[in-house]
Amino acid sequence: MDATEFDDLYARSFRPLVRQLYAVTGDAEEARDCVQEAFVRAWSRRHSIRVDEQPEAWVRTTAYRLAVSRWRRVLRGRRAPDRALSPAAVTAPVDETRVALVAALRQLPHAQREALVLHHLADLPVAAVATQTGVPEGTVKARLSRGRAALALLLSDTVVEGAHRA
Amino acid sequence: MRDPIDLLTTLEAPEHEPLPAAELRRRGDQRRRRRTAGVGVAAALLLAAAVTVPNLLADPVVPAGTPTSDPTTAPTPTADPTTPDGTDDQPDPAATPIPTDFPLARHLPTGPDYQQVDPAEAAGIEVCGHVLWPAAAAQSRAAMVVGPEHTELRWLGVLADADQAVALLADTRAALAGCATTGTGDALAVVPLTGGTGYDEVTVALVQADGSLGGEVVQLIRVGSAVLLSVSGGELTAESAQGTADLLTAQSADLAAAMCVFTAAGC
Repeated sequence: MDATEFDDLYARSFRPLVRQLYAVTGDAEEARDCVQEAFVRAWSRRHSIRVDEQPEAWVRTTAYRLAVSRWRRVLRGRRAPDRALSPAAVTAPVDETRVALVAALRQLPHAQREALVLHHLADLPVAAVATQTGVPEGTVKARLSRGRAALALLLSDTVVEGAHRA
Repeated sequence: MRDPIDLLTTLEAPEHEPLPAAELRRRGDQRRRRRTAGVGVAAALLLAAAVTVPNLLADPVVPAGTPTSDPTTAPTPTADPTTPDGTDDQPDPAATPIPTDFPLARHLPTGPDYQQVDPAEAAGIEVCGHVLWPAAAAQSRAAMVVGPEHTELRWLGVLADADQAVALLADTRAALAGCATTGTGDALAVVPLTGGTGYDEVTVALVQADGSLGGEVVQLIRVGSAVLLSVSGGELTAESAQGTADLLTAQSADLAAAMCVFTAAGC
């Protein structure tokens, strides 16, 4: 992978990958950090990553592992002092639906959340999700089905609670 | 209510300004150079251990806490550091303060990619229902650094006496015996490893049970009433963990010399 190919991959994949990881972690800043770190690693290993071998999948897997690393979780909530000076997130009005969805996703079992994100956000077919997660296709289908049902229930509860508060 | 999958597919992360691609490439190049240099350092440490440990083993005098010929056997302290009536003329090793210059961080990586972290912020280490760390100790000191690819923790604990230190390692061994996996959700496989410091020790890896990258090697060694815990976490697998264990073993053997102050008779 040369510099042009890397830059193209970064331009094309950064936002979708952050979006996917955000759905997994519920933390947009963490998602951005993990994806950027995964790209740094991809470049440092560029000689062993071929552009015709789905480098985006490599970056996604690396970013995902970083996000779930329990050692990395040590640092959450403890940001370097210069973070305050780094480019800030664009402040947007709070999207209550998004907040509810992210909260509901975080309540799902890890395996269901992973399957939902890979299939519905990363647009991977079931067979590819099975390969990436190392489980049979039937297991992926079951996780997708259960995840969808659980998400519907959790969002329904959220809506009911919101209605009660209103 | 909308279909939850419809909601999911329209989920957007809050906008952040990404770093320029050139900056990521610069960091990647820097990482590559550092990784290449690190291989030489690791090899040098292993070589040092290969020279040092046999020399220690060759010592005909084997006081408490010094290496024994069988690293898998917990050495029994040759002398109780204290006596009930307090008439012991040996200094109480457990009461010996941890020297201010104890080289706990000697082998921790440094550089701009590494952050020193207050170990109190780290999650505890529990294996098979046994809390390995934090452990109770009369005195302790810890150091931890977190880098982009791995994390290192060192903890030195001085227990009330050598028997308690022996018990700490024995309890750990008992918890690990017959325990193949630990944790819930993303289970971790428990992989016994070979140490080789020559001291009373336990070395084990906790790696992703599904074979994916990620895990840590944990090593405990005891010298007298002191226990040194070393943890190296990163992109490990069951197959690669022994290499990390070898590196920790070399580092632990080096630090063990400074732990002789916690033995009744010295090393």
